[in-house]
Formats: sequence, C-alpha cells, structure tokens
Amino acid sequence: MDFRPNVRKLAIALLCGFLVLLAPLTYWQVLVATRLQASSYNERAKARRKAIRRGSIFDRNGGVLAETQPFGSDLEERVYPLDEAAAHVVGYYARVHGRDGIERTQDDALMALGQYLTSPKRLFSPRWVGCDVMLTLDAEAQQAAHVELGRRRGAVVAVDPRTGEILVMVSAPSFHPALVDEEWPRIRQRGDAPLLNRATARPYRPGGALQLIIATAAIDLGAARASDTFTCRGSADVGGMPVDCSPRRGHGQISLTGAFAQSCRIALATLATRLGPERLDEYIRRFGWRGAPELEIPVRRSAVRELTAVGRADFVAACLDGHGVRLTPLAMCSAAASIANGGVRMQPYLVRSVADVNGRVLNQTPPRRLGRVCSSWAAAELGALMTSAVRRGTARRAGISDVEVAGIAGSAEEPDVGANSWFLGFAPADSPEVAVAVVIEDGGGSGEQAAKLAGGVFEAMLR
Amino acid sequence: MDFVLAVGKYFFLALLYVFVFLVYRAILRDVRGAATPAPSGNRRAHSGAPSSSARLVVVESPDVDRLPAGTVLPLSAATSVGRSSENAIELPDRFASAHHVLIYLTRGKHVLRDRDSTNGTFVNGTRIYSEVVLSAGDRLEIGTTILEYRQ
Amino acid sequence: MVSVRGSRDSGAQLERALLLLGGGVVVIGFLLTSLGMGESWVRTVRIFLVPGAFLLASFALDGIHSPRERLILPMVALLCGVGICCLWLVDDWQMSKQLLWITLGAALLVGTYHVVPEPARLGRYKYLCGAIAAALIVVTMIWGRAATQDGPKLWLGFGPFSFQPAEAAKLLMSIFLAGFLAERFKAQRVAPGERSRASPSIRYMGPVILVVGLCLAMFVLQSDLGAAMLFFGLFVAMLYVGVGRLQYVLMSIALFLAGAGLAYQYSPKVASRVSIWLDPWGSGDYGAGQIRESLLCFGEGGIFGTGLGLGMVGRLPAASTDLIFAVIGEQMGMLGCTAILLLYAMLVYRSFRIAWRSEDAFSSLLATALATVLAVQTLTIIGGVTRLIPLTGITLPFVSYGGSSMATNLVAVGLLLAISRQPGGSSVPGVTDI
Repeated sequence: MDFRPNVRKLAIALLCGFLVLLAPLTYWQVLVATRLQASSYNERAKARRKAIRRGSIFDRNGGVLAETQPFGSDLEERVYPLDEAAAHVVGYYARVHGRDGIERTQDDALMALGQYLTSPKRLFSPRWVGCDVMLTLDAEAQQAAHVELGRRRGAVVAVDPRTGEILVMVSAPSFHPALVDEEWPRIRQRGDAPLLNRATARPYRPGGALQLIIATAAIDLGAARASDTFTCRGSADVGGMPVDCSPRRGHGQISLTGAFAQSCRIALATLATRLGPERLDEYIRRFGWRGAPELEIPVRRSAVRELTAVGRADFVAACLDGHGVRLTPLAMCSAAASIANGGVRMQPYLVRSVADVNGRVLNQTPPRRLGRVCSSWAAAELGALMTSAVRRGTARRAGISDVEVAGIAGSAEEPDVGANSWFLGFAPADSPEVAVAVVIEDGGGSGEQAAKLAGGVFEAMLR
Repeated sequence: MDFVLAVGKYFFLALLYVFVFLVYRAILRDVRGAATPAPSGNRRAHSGAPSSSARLVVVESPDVDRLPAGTVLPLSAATSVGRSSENAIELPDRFASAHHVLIYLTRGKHVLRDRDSTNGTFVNGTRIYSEVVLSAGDRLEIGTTILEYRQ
Repeated sequence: MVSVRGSRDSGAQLERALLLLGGGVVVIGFLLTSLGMGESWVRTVRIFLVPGAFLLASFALDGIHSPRERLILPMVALLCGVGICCLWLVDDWQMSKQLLWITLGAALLVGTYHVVPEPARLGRYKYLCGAIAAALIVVTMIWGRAATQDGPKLWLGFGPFSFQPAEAAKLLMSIFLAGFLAERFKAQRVAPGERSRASPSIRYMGPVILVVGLCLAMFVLQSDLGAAMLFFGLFVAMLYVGVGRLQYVLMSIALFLAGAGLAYQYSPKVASRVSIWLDPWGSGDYGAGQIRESLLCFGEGGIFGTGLGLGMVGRLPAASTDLIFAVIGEQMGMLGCTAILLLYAMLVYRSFRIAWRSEDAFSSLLATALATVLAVQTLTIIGGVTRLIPLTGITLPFVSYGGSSMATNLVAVGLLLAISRQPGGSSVPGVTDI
C-alpha cells in the first residue's frame, strides 16, 4: 500500500496547477484589461459608444461647431453647422473612417469615457452624456476667412497675441465633415489634398519671411537702428556674393524702415551678413521655428536648416528667398503674434475649456508663455517697421480704414506650385488684438493677394 | 435598474465567496481532526490485530452501581468512549460528553483522541486537545470518571 | 460496534446546509441573469430544478447509513448552477437541455452510488473495461459523426440519441488502469506497517503503455487533441503513482513533446493551433478568432465582471462548450473566476482525499484516476482559454453544455462518493490523516 504517498504528491502537483492558473487570469483581467477593452478587435466598444451621447463642440462665443442630432427614429448623426469652413479644426466623426481633428483628440472628453467605465453615477442617469468642448475659434471670423479664401488654395491663421488663443484656422480646399464616409473615395482621389490641414501640416517656403528674423535680430542686438541707411544700387556684392535687388536700379539711399517696407534685398543681405549665421540661428530658435510645436490637433514641424551649417551662397539665399526654410502658416502667425505681444511668445491653443453636461467647467486652458523673442522696445520698433510696410510698402493691401495694421508680405516660389503669396502681421498696430498669417498657393508673384485677404480678416474681426 | 444590477453583481460575488469560505472551513475542520469513523463491525475485518491485553481500568466512577471501580474495559482496534449508548464504552457520567473520546490502535500503539468534548479530557493531569499516544499507567480523566490505561 | 452517529448527522446537516446556500447563490444568479438580459423573471422558476435535484440526491444517497464525503455534492451542484446561468446568456435552448442532463445525471449519480456498493468489485472487470474503451474509440473513429466538416468525429449516434464515447471511455479507462495497478500491488503484498522495499518495475506497465498508446494514437489521428491531452495526463499520473519514480514521468513528457513536435511538423491543424496560441492577434486563421474573443471576454470582465446577463458573448464561438469559462470571465470578473477555480481545486482535493483515505487498493487507485481526470480536464481547458497553453476542445466539467460530459462526470462523482463510504482512516499505517 505504499503508493499512497505518490498519490499525495500527485495531488499537490495538480493543485499547484490551479495556483498557476491565477497568473494568466490576473494578466488578462487586471493588468491588461483596459488594453483589451480598447482593442480594435473589440466589438463592444462600438456598442458602448452608441450608448453614450457625445458632447458638443462650441466656438468661443457658444456657437455650435459640432453636435449630435437625432436622425430618423432611432439613429443619430453628427452635424457640423460651419461645414467646410472649420472642417480641418473641428474634424469629423465618421462611422467607417473614424475620427480626426478635435473630434479625435478630444474624444475622451466628448465621450467622457474615463468616467463612464468607472463612475457609479452611470447607474442612475438614463443616458450617459459626454462633456462639451469649447474652442477658442471665432465662428464668424472663421466663416468670413473661409469665404474670402474662396476657391483658392492656402491657409489663414489668426491668433490673439496676448493669450495665444487661435481665433481663426482655415485651410482650403476643404471637405464636408458630415459626408466623410460617403465621399471618401472621391476625396482620396482628388489631387489637391482636401483633408490636409494646410495651416498646421503644410510647411511653405516663406520667401522673405526670414526678413523678420533679420530685422528682429538686428534691432534687438543693436546692430542697426530704424534710422540707419543703406545704399542700394540694384546689385551689389555682399560678403562675396552677388545680390540683385528689384527694382534694377536700386532703392538708392534707404533707411532700415524703408528697406524693410520695400524688401530691399541688398540692405537685408548686408544686415544678415553683418549679424552672421549664429546669431540668426539663435533668433530662429527663439521664434520657435526649430522645435516641435504643440497643439490640440496634429502639427508638423517647420523645417529650417541650420544657417551655420551652410555655405555662404546658401546663407544669403536662405535669408533672402527662404531657401531651406519651410514654415507652417501657424508658425508664421505665431511669429507675428510674438512681436505683437511685446516680444513675448505665447503657446497657441485651440481648446478653451471642457465642461460637463451640467455646465461645470472641468478643464480650462490657461495662456502659457513660451519665452521671449526680443526685448519689448525692439518689438515696438519692429511694429513700427511693419506698420510702415503696410502704410507704404509691400503689404499695402492689408490696410483697412480706422485701424492701423502692421505686417509684411511677399511671395515665394515653389516648384510645381507656383508663386505663393504670403502675409503676416497684426492689428491694431499700437495695441494688437489679432495676429494673422495668410498663405495663398499660386497667388501671384507678390504678397498682394495674401495681404488683401488679411485685410478682410482684420476687417471682420475688428469691427 | 442599472443600480439593481450593479448591487446584485457585488452581492452575488460576495455570496459566492461565502460559500467557498464555508467549504474551506469545513475542510480545515476535517484536517484538524474530527473523529474518523472506525469500521463498523458487521462489514469487514479491520487491519491490525488488537493488542490483546490493552485495557482500561476504572479508578473512580460517579456511579458505582453501574460502573464500579476496578471494572476492566477491554480495548479493541477502535474504541469510542462517552455518555451515549452507542459508544463501545458507555460512561454513566453527567459530566462526560455523549461522544467524548476515541481510542484507536495504530502501529501497535493506542492513541487517544478527544472528540470536541465539552469538559475536556485530561491525561495525567494535562488537558488533551487533539491526540496523544497512551503509555501503560496513564491516568485518563473523562468528566468525573478516572480510568487507567494498562497493557 | 461503534457507530459515530453524531458526526454522521452533522455531516448530513452540513451537506444540506451547503446545498441550500449553494442553491440560493444559483437562484440569485439566475434571477440576476434574467434581469441583465431583460428577460421576464417568471422563468426563473426553472432554476430550482438544479438545487432541487441535488438536494433530492443528497437524501437519496443517505439510504445507507454510513459516513461519506459531504463536501463534493454541494460544490458540484453550485458549479452546475453557475453553468446554467451562463448557458442562458449563450443559448437559451441549450440551457433547457442542460437542465435535463443535470437532472438525469443526478439520477445516474444516485444510481451509481447504490448499484456499486463495493467499488472494489469493479476491479474484476478491468480488462473488460479497457477493451470496451478501446473499442469505443475505434468505432467512433470509423463510424462517428463530427460537429463540423473538418472536426474530429466525436459522436456515436443511435437514431435521435447521440453521445460522446470518449467521455465513457475515460471512465472505463480509469477502471482499467486502477484495476491493473491494484493487481500489481497486491502481487507485492507487504505486512501492515512495513514499507515495501521496491516499487513495481516498469515492465509491469507494459500492457498499460500499449493500450494507452493506442488510444492516444487514435485521438491524435483524429486531431481530438483535448481527449489526447486528457488520456495522456491520466496515463502519466497513474504511471507515477504506480512506479513512484519521477524519471518515468519525465520520459513520458519528453516523448509527448517529441510527438508534439512531429505533429507540429506534419499536421497543419496542430501547426495552426500552435501558431494561433503564439500570436492570436496577428493570425488570420479561424481559430485565432476563438482565442481572441476569449481573451477579450476576460478583459471586459476586469476584476468584478460585467454582471450576470450583461456580457456580450455574441461573437464568442463554442461559447457553450469549450469557451464557457470565458463567459464566466466576462460576467463574473477575476473575483468570480478565482472563486470558481477555488471550487474546482477543493473538489480535486476532496477527491484525492477520498483516494488516500480509502483502505482498498483498487478503490484508492480508482479515486486517484477520477480525481486526476477532473483536475487535468479542468486545468487543460482553463489553461487553453486563458492562452496559457494552446486551446483544445474539451469541456469544463459540470459547467459546459453536454449530456455525455455531464452524465459521465456525475457518474464519476457517484463512484467517488461510493468509495468514500468505505471505512478508512488512521488505521492505515504511515499516512497522516489530512
């Protein structure tokens, strides 16, 4: 009868097996449970979404940008009052093709998913309701900018320089957010990329936008004063490189203000050479054109090559024509806003606040200071420079009655696209409330179109 | 309704664990040694021959008429002792439990086991809570009855 | 004569009390399931059949006055009840049929208990049992029906009735193995109190190895890997009990792995199962969906579960049979799963306890075999469903839907209770009584 000890050992071995089973159970049901619940294989998520009433998206004045409305007897649909005008920012919420824009990045808040899974309140309420998201956008201005841009391609970004709130973000061509599923094949086939948010994800050659850097650096470092004069004879050899100016005969004796206003290449090239690549790189960094930008919707970095790493020819080309420099309209607007804000750069943001179904504010985004691009008196000087650019210079078309506008404009050649017209500036010049950047693809060989559009935007926002 | 379901869910789990716990407790009780039934005589012979001369001798008894002192009580392979008539050795002692002790044979030795008696069992003055091996001359106090183990 | 009436009564009381409590748990569970599913709760009445059947059985088993195992029946009753609750969510019709199987099974349990007053006598039929087991397996392989096109042929049918011979075969095989080993041990009779010096040598196991090997081959040929695992586990366990030396166990495991390796190479089904096990998320095979959904169910359950009747198991294949534990996982969460696991562990423990407390060699070995089958089956299916090991197609005892499975397992319980009825205890030398 001595097999009985073996039986005991067998029993112990098998019972240990049960103990071992606790491991996978703990793994799947405790450690990775949330991952499984969110898995794309999990059909329950769809059922859960249907059970929740999604929150709405509002503009800064409470106007509806996106909301869920009943459709037929038992279905619901997502409605977008601004349609194409705000499509890139607000995004879409499609059954088949998913979500994008604010609809995607603020999804957790709009469905209040975090609390849904754990809150005991869920037991009492008849239907779970997500939170509402209030954006910084100004719906009227957004609509106006969209109309102004019309059938052209490009982007308009307007920002409150004092806080960084994004008031307008338009990209064209656009799409109908409520019809994404239906129009998907057509949308994808189009050659002009309507889903692309040109304001944040399309870096452009800014042409002479680097002038801003040069001017800022020069004034801030005291390398030049507004009253300094340069001699422009149409063409010159600057630092060993031939530079041509337009008009051919040159500007003659020109002050810094005038050089800036008229985009005198020789003067600017002289200044740039005087400052040197290291200092210019430093200001490029201060303007935030090197780092990875943050925003509540996806943004692309601007691409600005290191000026210290290029040869002299490329250096001049970069400074004058923006070779090797690609900026998103948002980055441009941020630059204008920094100058408008006395040299202080603010973080641009889209989401003003998040409130629950009872109106209780859960989250409020405070304005955030990112750093200083230049001293406040330098900013003031630059403001003056930009004001005269609008009064008498290349950005003339941005002027509007009653309000003094400051800005610079120009055009940049892009292969395969044409000459992009661009503008960046702010208004009112003495106490800025709005900073604007406009880029119009294939907008003619000058900054006129962009400047005019910007004028329209200022008009809409400041009256 | 969701509330009822949520409460029900936790209540059900709790009840389930109550069940599990009670079974577990019963297992533990078995492990700690409830008495094991000895073979009933009419069914099969038990292994292990009784040690022929092992016996209990009554030293003191509360009822000398029914159980006088000096009575010799033989021990078999498994002998139950208590107040109840079902026991192999029936003690007329009010202070003894109905099923007080079991004395069984293992490996040639007699082992005494207390069966959760009310007043306890004392061997040579020490209270026994589970089991003890008996040696010749041990004094067992069961209730107010005193028995001596002899071989 | 010593009868221990006191403890017999308290044993019966304990059993009935636990049956009532378990019954209460099951009724409440069923009620919650109906609420969760939005069904009318008048239909809840049906559930009383489960605790009722087992309570009746409990009384019926006490016709013979003898102490027996008291904790197994309530646990089995509770598991059956939990199974019913889960089945309702999965398939209403199967749930009704399962109620029938449970009732019939309970009757079979009582019948077995009474018809086999001396389990030791079963040992005489060992060769017959072994032969019938093998025959059943062969017959099923040739003439059986399969559930799906490619699936293993699991059923034998006679008119409207069909059953799974593999289930009966496992009982018969247990009897065979137990009897065979008992005979070998008797051949080495030792005086009581003395330890045997040498264990039976491996040569004696020859016929066993042959028979079991045959069965295994047939299962593997059919790709009924669940049954193969079970028989193999039973064989290795009994081998160890009989021979006592770990090396034979290790050798068998090595052989098994070798066989598995071969199977992986040459059988696309096995290869598919293994690759699904290694990466269920990427694989496109049908089976991958099974384990994926199973794991998702567990994840959805979390710690407390979704609540009875609230699981969404629509996409879970074989939810009523192989993957029923995932249904438990979703509805009762980790806490529920652990409780069920504890119940199975305690069941296995009590079955083994019957084994080592039993005086008679054959009964003891039979109990060992039955306990092993229960343990291996449960471990295999729960391990497969949680992706600890590859998923195989066997049932979770007492919970999965299946008449043959329920009947066989309840008969096994009847046998265990019959074995526990014998006197046993500390008169067995050399073993402490726990």
